[in-house]
Amino acid sequence: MSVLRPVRTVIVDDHEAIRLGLTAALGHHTQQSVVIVGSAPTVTELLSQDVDADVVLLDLSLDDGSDPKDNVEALIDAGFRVLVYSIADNIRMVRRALAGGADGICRKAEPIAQTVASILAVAEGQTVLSQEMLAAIEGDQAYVAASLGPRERQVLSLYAAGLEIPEVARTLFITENSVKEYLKRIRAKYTQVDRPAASKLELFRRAIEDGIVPPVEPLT
Amino acid sequence: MPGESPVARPLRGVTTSGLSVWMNRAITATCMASLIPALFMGANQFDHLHPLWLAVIGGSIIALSLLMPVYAWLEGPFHILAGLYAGIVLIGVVTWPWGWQQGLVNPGSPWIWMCVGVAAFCSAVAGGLRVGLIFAMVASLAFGGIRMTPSGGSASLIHAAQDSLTLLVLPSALIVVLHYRSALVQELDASVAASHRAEVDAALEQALTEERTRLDGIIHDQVMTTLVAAAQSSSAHDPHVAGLAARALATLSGPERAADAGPPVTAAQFTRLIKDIVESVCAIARVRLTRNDPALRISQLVASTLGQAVREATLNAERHADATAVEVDVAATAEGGTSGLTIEIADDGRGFDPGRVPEARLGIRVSLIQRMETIGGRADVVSAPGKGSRVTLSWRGPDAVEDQDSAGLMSAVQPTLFGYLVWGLVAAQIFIGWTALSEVTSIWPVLIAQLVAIAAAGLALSGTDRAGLSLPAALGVLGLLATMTALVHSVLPPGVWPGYATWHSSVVMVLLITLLVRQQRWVAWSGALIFTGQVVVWALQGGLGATEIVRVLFGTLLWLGLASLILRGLRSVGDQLAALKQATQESTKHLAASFSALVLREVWLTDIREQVAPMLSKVADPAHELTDDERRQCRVLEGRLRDGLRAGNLISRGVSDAIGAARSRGVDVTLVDNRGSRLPEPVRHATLRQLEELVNSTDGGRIVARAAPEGYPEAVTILSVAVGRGSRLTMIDEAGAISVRET
Repeated sequence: MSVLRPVRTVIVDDHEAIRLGLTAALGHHTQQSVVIVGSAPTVTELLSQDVDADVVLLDLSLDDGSDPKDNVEALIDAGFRVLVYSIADNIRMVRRALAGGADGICRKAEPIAQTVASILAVAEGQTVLSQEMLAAIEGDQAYVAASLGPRERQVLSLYAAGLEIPEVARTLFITENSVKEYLKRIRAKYTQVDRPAASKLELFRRAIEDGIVPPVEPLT
Repeated sequence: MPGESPVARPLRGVTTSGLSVWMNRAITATCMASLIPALFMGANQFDHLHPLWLAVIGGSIIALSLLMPVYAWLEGPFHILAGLYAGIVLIGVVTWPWGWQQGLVNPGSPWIWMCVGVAAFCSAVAGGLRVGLIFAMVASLAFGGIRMTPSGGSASLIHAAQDSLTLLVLPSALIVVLHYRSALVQELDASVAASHRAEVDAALEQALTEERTRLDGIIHDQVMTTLVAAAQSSSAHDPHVAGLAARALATLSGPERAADAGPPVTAAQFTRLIKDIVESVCAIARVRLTRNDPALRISQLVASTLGQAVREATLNAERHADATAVEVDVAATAEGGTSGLTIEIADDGRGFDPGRVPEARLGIRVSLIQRMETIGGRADVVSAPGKGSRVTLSWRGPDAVEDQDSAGLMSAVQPTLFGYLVWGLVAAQIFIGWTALSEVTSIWPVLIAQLVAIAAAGLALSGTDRAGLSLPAALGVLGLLATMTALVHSVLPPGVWPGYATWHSSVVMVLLITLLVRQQRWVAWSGALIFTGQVVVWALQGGLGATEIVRVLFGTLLWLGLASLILRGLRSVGDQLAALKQATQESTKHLAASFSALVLREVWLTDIREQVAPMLSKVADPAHELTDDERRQCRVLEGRLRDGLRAGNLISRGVSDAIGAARSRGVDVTLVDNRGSRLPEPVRHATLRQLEELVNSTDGGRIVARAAPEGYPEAVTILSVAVGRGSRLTMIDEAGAISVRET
């Protein structure tokens, strides 16, 4: 499907080098199918700029310590589509962003062409399913146990293991479309899952999960 | 109490003053109570004593007895008062013949007798176990001496000896109990110190959390961002990126020795740390603690330096030796004032001639030796071509730090020792009874009563493997004591004070206290009631007065009350002690885990610095123009760090190297670690081996390795998709068994 006009994209990242670098890189690579129309170090600042854009490339750990879920929700409310653009963030932050309804995940280190493809897909309204995204969901064992049926779990497990959709379909003797439907449903159900918040509290919980800090009862 | 430490405050009160206050009040009560029989006994003696002696000695005893409650209440320096009391009583005993004015023979026993036992106890409070026992001995001998003078009643040697023995045995027994109590207080102090350490631990854990956050921040925010930015940058030199790189370099080369502030580690903890380090470097290595010494303590600085040296030596074996087995043996010693650690890293690889070492390996040797020298240790390398190699790292340090762990509450109330004490006291009373056989109307009932006493003691001390005594046994003791008392009373001469023929009252006291100690409180107090009844009946039948009743009952009931008070204090302290111990143990467990993570991070940071610093320097260098190949390398490095952060279960140093090389060849390698915990050793071993082989043998296409969440049938899956061919799924189950499926 062709895009009639360039996809207007903004970057939210606290590193200026990344913002400038990506702007320049996209300028070189996209034949104007994607244009960067703005950038900001935080979501709050972006929203205050009143930019007219289709897609936001959102870094997960911003300098203001904001929660990825809040950020994604605020951006979706403002009418943007959100593509997570991260390095190797804490997996729980990735889950926060997914719970907030992010449309896709891409990595800063991946080839620029792949990023462009993700931006275009998100702009068209597709949910960009990726192995990384579904692996992040699979790792949330509490969610998998509570919310997914046996078939959904099978599909998720194979896809997270790296199998492509046709391979998953062949392995389970179902159609590729059913596999896609399963994956989309799993992704959709994950939105609004209340994963632990980011920032200081999240770090503290993470420390408890990792066995560094013993849990304490709250003071009454 | 919001904002206050939940552990330490209340317990500190219990240990340093709580139990002491209990004891001081009990002693105070005893001192004051002993004034009453002293007044009874002294009523017809005061006229014969020199007024000055009476004023100084008697006045002081009364004044101190009255001051004691004030000090005990206000928690003042009670031991000074107790020492003064003991001193005055001893002076009183020694100077008694001079205080006794007329040449009359004292019709009774000097009233100061009543104060000597308490005084011995006070001397122990003031000066400790040894002072107390010596005091009891000196005072009882001195009293025996004056007892034979006219002022002391011109007693016969046998009566004087009876008095001496009584004064020696009972207070000594109580002083030993007091010693238990001080051991207990010390233990509590140790526990409070331990709870303080728990606070320190909490602080350390806080610091660790911050450290982790900081390290993750450095890697993620600075190093990886720089690498990505450099890889993306389109111009040959981007000042923004160079700035990022310079900052990342500065942070990485920041303070290296952050870990030295923490508490020292044990050999077992150290071995665990070595295991972690070695595993991440070389999958085939086996780590063993061949010799442990629980007394060994190593500072965190030494631990982390040794850890880095071990890592280097193991890495060397992994990279160059082509070994099929690598063994790391840790041996700890702590003797003769020094503690030592010896770590041997032996491989069965191809070995080398130390005389003709290749440049690369020489460098490693030199850096190993230098590293070890910074902590005063040494590194020796032995190798020969075809014979493998052996690196020995040895370190000798100053005196091992003694752990202040105490043996626990049970050591303070040791059942066997308590048993000996009871037997000793009963035996002493039986002996005293023998010396008074001339006082009774018939000998045989006394001897039978003594056998009954022995049976009662045996029953009261039965089953000491448990703390409590069964109710039937306790009631049996009661029956035996009543029988014994009845037997003794049946042969006491009517109408006269029977002297030490009432030895049984002490046996009753000792065994009733035993019942108290063995958690039969109601039975013990019922026994006291029965005994009181028997004494009153005996006194009324024999036409004796209140004085005699008091003389027989006083000691028994007083000491029973005192023991009851002390036991109550011990019980509440014991409960809190147990709770505290548990809390302390748990926090220590956490510390052990967090410590290794902390030091490991330090080792890991050094590792990262070695990997990325050369590239970061190039990026930061304003004169350097990045080539396309270097941009690719930046991506590869970023991927490597990402794997380290996100997929710890799936990488070792060797696998990391292989993946880096494969990515440079254009293979797309993805690692996903969805397991919440460490992989079991066989699984990890199989995974690393499979992954490394697969990665090394692939020239293109895609590899996805995933550690599944816990509870899945396959712990790890490795998918490899070669270009133009089908894919292959390797599955490794929880036991490490491998199965392959072609799709």
